[in-house]
Amino acid sequence: MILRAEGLRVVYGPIVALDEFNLAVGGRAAALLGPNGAGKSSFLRAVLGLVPPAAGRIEVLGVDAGLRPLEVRRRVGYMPERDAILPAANAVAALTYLARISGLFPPDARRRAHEALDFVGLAEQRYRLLSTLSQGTRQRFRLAAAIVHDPDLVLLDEPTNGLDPPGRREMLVLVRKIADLGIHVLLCTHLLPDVEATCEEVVVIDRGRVRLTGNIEELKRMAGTRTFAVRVAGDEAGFRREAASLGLALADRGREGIHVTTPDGAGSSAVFRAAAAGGAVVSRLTEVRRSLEDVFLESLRDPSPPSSAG
Amino acid sequence: MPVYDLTYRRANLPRRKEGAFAPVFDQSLRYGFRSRWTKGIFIASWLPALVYCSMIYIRNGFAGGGRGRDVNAGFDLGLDWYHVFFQIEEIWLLVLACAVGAGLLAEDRRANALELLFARPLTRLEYLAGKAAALVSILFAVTGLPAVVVWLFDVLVAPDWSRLRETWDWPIRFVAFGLVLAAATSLVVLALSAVAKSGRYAAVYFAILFFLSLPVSAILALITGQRAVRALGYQASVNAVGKELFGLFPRPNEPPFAPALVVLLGAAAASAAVAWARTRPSEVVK
Repeated sequence: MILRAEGLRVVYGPIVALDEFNLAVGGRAAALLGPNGAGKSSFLRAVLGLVPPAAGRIEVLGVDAGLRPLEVRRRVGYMPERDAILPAANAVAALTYLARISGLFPPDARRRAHEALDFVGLAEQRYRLLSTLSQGTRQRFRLAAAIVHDPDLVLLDEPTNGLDPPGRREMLVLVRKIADLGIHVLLCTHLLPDVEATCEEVVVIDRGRVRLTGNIEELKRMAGTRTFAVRVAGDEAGFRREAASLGLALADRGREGIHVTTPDGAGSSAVFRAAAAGGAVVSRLTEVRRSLEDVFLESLRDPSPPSSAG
Repeated sequence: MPVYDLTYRRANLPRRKEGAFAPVFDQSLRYGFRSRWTKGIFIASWLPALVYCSMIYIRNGFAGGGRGRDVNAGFDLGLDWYHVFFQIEEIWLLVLACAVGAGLLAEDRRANALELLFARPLTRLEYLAGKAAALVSILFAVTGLPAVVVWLFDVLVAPDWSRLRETWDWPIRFVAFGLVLAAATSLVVLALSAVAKSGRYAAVYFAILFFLSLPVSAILALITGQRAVRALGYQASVNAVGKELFGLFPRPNEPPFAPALVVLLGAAAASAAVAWARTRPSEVVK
């Protein structure tokens, strides 16, 4: 297991940021998904030991973060959400410094600084003062800072924040490349397309608690309500009447036909039953796959205890 | 195959076992000498040492020096002269403390660098100790070190070894006073740097403290009639400690040693506490 939290509670004075926070992440690239203020950044800071938890424990790469925070920080890379640079330093000098703090010897640190800058596409700007770089370039620098010491896990807090569309796309490609290199990635974001583009696993959190966790594809296929795009021939009114009596939810979708949502476990047979009873024939039926957005929104609406898949 | 492959890849690189004090110290020194201005100020701060060496050379060579003659016939370069030397260097200490030390914490806080730094295996103690050690080294290099070099020159150009026999303990006094000056100044400057929004503000605060504390303490001493109150003046208190280390008697308008030492130790402790409290890893400065 890459990351495990049990009964975690983080408070800032009277404000409870995380409460009864239980989490287990094991995949190569996972996302911590939640609306603004859900507690994503607080969790990352607790993982790094920057914020001491009021209760509970965190285990990172098999190391207890509460007992050995320095060991955790040695093996973890962190890209903060907010703008953070080193004053009066160019990109290479700053990365060399950060790599040395992470324990690398000076020659190795310098070489890794160049490699990391090349990786994120800042080869041309390596000798420019950080304070003179643009927002997008600084974002890349922070990504390079997160990987310069060859971590086993990188925590990326809203890496695409404030980037223009091409910059955002390039950043997501870099995140995917990092995962492909064998570095575990935990991406914190509220942007669903970012998660779908880079991660296999997702943890949905809201108001300091985990709402849902699991493999993205399995979550989309998870048992529960299913939606079908249906076209019927014959008595459509009869079909609608019978479908309503069987508890199916209908929605007109123009050229797609009628979207029929079946209750838990009913499946497509309920659609056929409604058609037969109403004097209609199903001429076309395709399942409408749930998007991650649907899963996300459902999990935020759902007041039931956290569930998991995969 | 490329001559030098810069492709980023996983690498099982050897890691340092000890803490992160050394990189912070190293980086802080680099930050200190980042501009030509600070380098120029540092070089200029050695001019008084050059003048003192010239004076010693002239005294020994032309003003009655030579084997068997009294080298002090022209003037006696005693500890009081060295104390004056330190007082001259205090001006350079002020300038360098403002140019180098004022931004050490303030600029890191302003740039949110603490979030990047403390996400690594770096403790607050290592961070602050590295910064303080770098500043103490720089400030000692313009106070205690030039004094030792002047003394060394004095001994080397003396006509015989009697000068060394008479003054062998002086470098110890110079190093001690240089460290007191550098350490006290560094801690105060770091504390101001930790509370200021930028290095410029911290520099202004320190300059105000440096120049205004002396007249204010003198006025307070006049009002209260207590000589010890003069120890509240920054320069007065460090010079009082210096005079004690040099075995010189304080003038009537100077504070006694004990209150001066108490004020310096209190200021150092308070400064260290302020710097510690203001360097919170989780704090994000907007």
